[in-house]
Amino acid sequence: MSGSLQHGPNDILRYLLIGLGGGLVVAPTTPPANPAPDWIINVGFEPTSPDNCITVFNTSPILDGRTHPDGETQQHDGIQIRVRSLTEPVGYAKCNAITTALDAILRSSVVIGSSQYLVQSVSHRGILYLGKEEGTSRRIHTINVVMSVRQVS
Amino acid sequence: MASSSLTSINAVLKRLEKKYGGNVSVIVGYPWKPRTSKGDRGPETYSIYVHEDLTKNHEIGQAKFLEQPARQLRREIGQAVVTVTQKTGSLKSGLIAGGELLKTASQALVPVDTGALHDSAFVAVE
Repeated sequence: MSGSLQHGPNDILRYLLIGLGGGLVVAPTTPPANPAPDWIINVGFEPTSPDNCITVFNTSPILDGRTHPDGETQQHDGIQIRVRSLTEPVGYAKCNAITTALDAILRSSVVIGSSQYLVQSVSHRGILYLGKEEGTSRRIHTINVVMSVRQVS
Repeated sequence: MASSSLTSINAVLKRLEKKYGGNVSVIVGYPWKPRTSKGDRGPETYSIYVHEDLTKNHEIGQAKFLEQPARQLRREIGQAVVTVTQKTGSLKSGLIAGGELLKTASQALVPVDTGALHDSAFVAVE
């Protein structure tokens, strides 16, 4: 499913992860806190600080054709979750917590402003370790996911 | 190894395996191994990093140079596998043709600095 979405799939996933609570990821504040807390989740842009942070990017979707009765194009949206951490074990533990949370998502409602979305499911392909960030000793992990989402209102 | 095992065409493969026999699979990818020493600088030491790093702007090419065409061309790849398998009677030949199609599409997107990563793309029968 998908249809047209008012917000990007990465933004919807960001709000979904923030809504799970439990300190999994932290919503950015306005104005930004100084120093910024760990595990702020960003969309499309990775800030230089703090060391421990999460960024979500849109990637290519999987197009599933059109449904017979209404001709609606069906697709699974692709998203990359990038986890930057000071050390490898800390990054892996955060990735593990995120994948566990993603596995539990089933027909979850996400509200962004006046828009409401229904996330049917999010499937991932495991955790990838990319090594050190260029120019620093911070570590990078990624999780690639596809998400099935529909805008309800 | 940054690779795609063409899992999206599983239904087509099952049908072809029934008709043409054989339990064969093909991997399309770029070599990958962790760096073991400072002098170790082949494309196999950075292929996955280039593929996954969406924060970099490349003058030529882009990240996700394998995953994106694998998703976008899955129907065309499936069709190539079916056509060549039916023509040759060999599922292995069909899968290699599908793999070559993906490899060519991927090489058109791979970032080019020295060309080493571009040239390291492979199609291998498992």
